[in-house]
Amino acid sequence: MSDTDHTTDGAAPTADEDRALSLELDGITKEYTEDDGSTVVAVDDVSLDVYEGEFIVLVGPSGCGKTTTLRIVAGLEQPTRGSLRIGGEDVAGREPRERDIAMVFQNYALYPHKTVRGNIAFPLKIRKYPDDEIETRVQDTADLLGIGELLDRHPADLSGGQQQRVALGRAIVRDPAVFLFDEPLSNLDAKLRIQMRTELNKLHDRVGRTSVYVTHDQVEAMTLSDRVVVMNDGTVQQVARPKTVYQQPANRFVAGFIGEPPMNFFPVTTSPEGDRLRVDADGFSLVLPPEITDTVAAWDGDTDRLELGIRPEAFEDAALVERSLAAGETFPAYVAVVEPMGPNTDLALRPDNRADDEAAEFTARVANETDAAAGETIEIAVDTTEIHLFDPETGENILA
Amino acid sequence: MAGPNFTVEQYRRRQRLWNLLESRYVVHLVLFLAVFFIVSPLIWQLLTSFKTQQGVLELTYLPTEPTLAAYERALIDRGFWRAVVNSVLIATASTVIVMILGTPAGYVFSRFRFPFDNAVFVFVLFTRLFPPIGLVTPYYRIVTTFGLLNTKTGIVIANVYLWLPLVIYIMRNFFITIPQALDEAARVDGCTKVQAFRYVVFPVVLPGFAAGTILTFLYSWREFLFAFTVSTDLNSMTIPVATFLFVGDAGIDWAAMAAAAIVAVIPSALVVVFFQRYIVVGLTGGLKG
Amino acid sequence: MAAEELGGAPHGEGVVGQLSDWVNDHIRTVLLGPSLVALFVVFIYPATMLLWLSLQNTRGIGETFEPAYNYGRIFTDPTFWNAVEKTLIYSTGSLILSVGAGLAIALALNKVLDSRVRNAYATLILISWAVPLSIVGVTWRWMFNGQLGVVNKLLIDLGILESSYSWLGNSLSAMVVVILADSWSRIPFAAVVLLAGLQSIPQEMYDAAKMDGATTLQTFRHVTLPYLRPSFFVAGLITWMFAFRAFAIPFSTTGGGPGGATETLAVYIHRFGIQLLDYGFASAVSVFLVAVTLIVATGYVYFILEQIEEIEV
Repeated sequence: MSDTDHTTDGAAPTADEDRALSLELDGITKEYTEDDGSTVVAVDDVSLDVYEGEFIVLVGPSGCGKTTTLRIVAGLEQPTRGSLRIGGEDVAGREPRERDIAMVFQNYALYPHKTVRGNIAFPLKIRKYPDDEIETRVQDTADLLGIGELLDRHPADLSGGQQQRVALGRAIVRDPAVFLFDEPLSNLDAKLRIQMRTELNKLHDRVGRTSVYVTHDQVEAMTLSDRVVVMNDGTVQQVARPKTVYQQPANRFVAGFIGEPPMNFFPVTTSPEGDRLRVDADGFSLVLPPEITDTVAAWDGDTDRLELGIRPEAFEDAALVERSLAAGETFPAYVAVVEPMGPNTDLALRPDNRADDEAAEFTARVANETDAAAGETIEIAVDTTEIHLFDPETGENILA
Repeated sequence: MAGPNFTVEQYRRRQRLWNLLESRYVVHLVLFLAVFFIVSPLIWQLLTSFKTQQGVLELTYLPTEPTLAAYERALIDRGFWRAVVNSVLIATASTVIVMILGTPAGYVFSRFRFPFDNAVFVFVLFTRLFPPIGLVTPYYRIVTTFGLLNTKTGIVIANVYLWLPLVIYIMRNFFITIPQALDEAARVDGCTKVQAFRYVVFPVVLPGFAAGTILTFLYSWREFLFAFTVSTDLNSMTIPVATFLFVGDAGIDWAAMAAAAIVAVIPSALVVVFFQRYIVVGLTGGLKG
Repeated sequence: MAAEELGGAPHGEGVVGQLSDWVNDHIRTVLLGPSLVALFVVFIYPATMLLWLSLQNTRGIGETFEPAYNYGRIFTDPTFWNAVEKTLIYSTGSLILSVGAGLAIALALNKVLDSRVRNAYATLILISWAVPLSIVGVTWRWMFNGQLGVVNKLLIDLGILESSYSWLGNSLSAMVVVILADSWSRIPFAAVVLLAGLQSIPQEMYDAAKMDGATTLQTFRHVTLPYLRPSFFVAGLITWMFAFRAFAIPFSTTGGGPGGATETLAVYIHRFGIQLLDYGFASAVSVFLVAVTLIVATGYVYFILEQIEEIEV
């Protein structure tokens, strides 16, 4: 991915441009040799700068290399190539204990033979802190996390949420330079997960340490992060603020991965329609607004065939749109399924000429006042300023 | 599902028979018979050991004049108390050595990848499955060559061969049940790899370690083939060997033999009574994948 | 936190620190090395010597290298084939008795709900497993003694026998006695393994069978047995394998007699190797025994691996 420059988007998360770098990954690559002798590249040339106090989330499908990247930062695995600096110091070859980091594990990894107190105190004990300091620190940490009452229990006697807090406590008690989180919420039930997510946010605001957080859950990525790092197949697809990742995905992968329900993709051909650009998909045509037309014209690649991306939210039931709609903004669609979600309604639609073709189905999220019923054909409107166009070969976003 | 040709009445009738078989009377009858079969030979040895030499010939079930004389003849007169001491020393030394060597080795197999790791592990399994009787002949020669015949050392070395592969295997299976994230958490928290093992992994595996220790001790205590091959000398022979030596006598002193047998069984029985749970864990832990 | 609080530098200071770093970097060697060296000394060395000895003619005085000599003798010596036959009878008999009784005990134990009672039974039943093997032998030898044995006394008192029977003096009954003694020592193991298997069956399976209207027998056949299959196989194969190589029990019960009627291969090897000092021939027979065991063991390992895959899928 080094040949693409969109990975450097959003260089600094805030106006404070001269904040110190806390973590620098430069060309980190990790290769494994399989039993049959073949080589698997788990992490491929990942470069990333993380600023002091920043909350970075690595997100991607399983096997994308995000956890391996985190483990390399932790020192639990050594990179095949590339360099890694923590707080400006090259940490190549250093043991985890020789890096100023703490980590929260997916299954908490609490020491079952130690009490909550013993678990939280362990990082200090092993570093031979004086006993009175250990005691105050453990107490303060436990109070901060609201587990002061549980200090003499064993992990097995705690609920999932409580165990999670103990794991957090063990990480923050030492006040390290960098926190690492490996899918820490994935074992909690849905309700608790949302609650802990909010608490993590508050905790980060209070502690303010650099954090690197790995998850496959895009909602966690969007809500927790200052910047999101989207990964796939061991490479970084995009590094940007959450809003940017959603609004201006760097490529087709990011566009499809971020957003729920996912973006709809249609292969299209392009042709001029007056001074505008017209795109023809199988079953419908759209005429795009002038600014998009200009951007496409400025693109130096081949633009005859493109990949059109429309988020479900960019659709609306034409009957509910108050302004008058132009010809290239709507098309008839067959309604296959209606799923009322509460605030809005998701429709599974097919272009009207392909009403019998299940493969042509796409999702539209429309206002809940819609009268659309399964089996009918409705007129569906597209907000053409919100569409995305991708190079069909490279997947790059032409409009971003 | 009850089909058309399977009425509720039929179902009940069949079920009644099985309910009877499953009833607690039958269950306890089976267990009582099993316990009788298992325990009665030892009871008979115990009764015999309290008889006089004359009493043995009288063919009574119970000793007519209960006495501890047989124990005196076995342990003091024949000096077999020394065999008991030898047994304790040999079993203890063997257990310590095997556990010290085998526990870290099992840990490595449960955690680390290294060149030929699978081949090395298969080698360990192979040594475990190799019939020990096959090694007796060369071992006898080696022991003779190195002057270890009739020494405790010779028996301890044999025990290391016999039980080390088993302990490596059992301990590996116990270590596998401990998530690797625990070691990693410890290392992130500030431990060296050795400290992570000592302060976190080892305390967690302690019940398994106890099971391995108890099993190794019992196996070493029970062992006969190599102990017998290496030593029939009072300085180094074990109590199971000493007990067997009665068999070679012209007129066997059965009461003394029974006394020696009881002395050999008591430590085993005590370990079983106090550590039954660990033994079950150890026996089944040695079988998992 | 300040870097110096971390113990800062990437490498330890002084001799202790350097040593600790070296250990940390070579952890696998440090932890595994001693065991492998030990196994090499106590296993590879004698095992290599076994192969070498099996190629030597040691019948007369001294040793001469005659690779085919001992292996040739194996196939022509009728006492060898007698030992093979006795070993097969012995191990099969013990397998059937041990696993059969073990299964009955395991099923019964599994029905005992009070865990204290169950543990009490389990403890009593485990005791015979812990008895030293030569003690097993002399105990059964004593019980079945022709003149003074308690079995004869009991059977005569019960009116089953007219007069004393020489159990260990008759080929067939001697074999029965050693098989009984062997099973006595192996039943607990089989019971423990099968009980563990029984306890791993999820209760929902029984509930589902009950919902489907299965009788107890049907439940046993369609739920218990399929789940128990791996444990059954493990208990059976281990019992058989260890009975196949049994030495201490037949040796101390009958010494292989009368007239070789209970002479298993292990006793046979011991007789030639240790008593007659015919190392070469004993080694060749050992190689045969090892080969048979390992063929069976390999099959066993493959089976276990397959079972694991089945369970994981």
